Amino acid sequence: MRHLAAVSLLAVLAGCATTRPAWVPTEEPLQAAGASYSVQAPAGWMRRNVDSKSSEADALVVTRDGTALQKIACSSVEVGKPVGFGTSKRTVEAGMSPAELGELVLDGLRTEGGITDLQAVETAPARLAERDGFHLLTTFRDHGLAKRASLFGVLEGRRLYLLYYVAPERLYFERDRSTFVDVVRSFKLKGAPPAKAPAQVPAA
Amino acid sequence: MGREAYGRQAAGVLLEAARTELAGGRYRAARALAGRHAEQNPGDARPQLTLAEIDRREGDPARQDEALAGYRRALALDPSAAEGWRGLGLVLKRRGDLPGARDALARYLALAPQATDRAMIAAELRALSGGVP
Repeated sequence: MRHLAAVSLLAVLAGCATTRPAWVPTEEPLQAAGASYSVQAPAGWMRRNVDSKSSEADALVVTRDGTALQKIACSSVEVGKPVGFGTSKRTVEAGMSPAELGELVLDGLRTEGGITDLQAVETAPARLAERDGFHLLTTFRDHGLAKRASLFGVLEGRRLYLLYYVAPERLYFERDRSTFVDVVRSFKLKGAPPAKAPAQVPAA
Repeated sequence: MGREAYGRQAAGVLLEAARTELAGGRYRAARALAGRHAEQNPGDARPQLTLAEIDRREGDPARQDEALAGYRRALALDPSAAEGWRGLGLVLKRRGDLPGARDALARYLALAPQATDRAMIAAELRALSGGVP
């Protein structure tokens, strides 16, 4: 029995030695392992440490006080795949207009577990990474807690890129809103943007 | 509760359920729920509108004709259904009927001046008008 316990302890220690930390301080600039984008992460925040070979390698999640209190996340979805929120099976289609993409994302949010009372406060066109995209401002209850989310999206080639900020409506959302605006401004996609008017800085 | 009152209550639940299924991309279930309501209430624009929304949002090119016909049926029953003009405009745009799309989206904005996607649809309208406000 003592031998078995010693073996178990060794296994645990060995596991500790090789396990990647779940969260690491943000570096600058921040680039997801498998992604074709980069963003300037807020200094002093923590980034979820994702294995570069995992299916979430192209997703970035950063927070300062914990994801329940504020979260800035970035992800991308391939055309033909579900949008990636909740249980929605609606897929991103090539040629979708910003209005249709905004509708798609809202539908996805409606299927998120634990989310109720989802309201679209505003859906508007926006520029992201010098491309035409959309901005959604929503409110909802997350397991009863009133939250607000600001989400930017842009369809570039065969991928939909989403960059969003979620925080409790009370106190937290306003507190880090300007930080999110800085992150949005820093968001870059690889490759030259289509020839268009200069990028406008969107308001979150 | 009388039969008619019960029918009205149940209809609302069916449509709500259809909308939930639609949001989740479960088109077959959404279509079945909205279709049942449409059969029971042929004079009600709402199930026709929901069916048209399902056909449009499913994104299947083969269903866009259905979506178009559905929006027209719904708007014939209730020309003040703002969402119907919005959907009709988006389908017409996809089909390349730009004047039709412009007209439908302009009607949507006129009927729903407080819509949360007003800025988005106004931008679509501007793009359809070649950038002219």
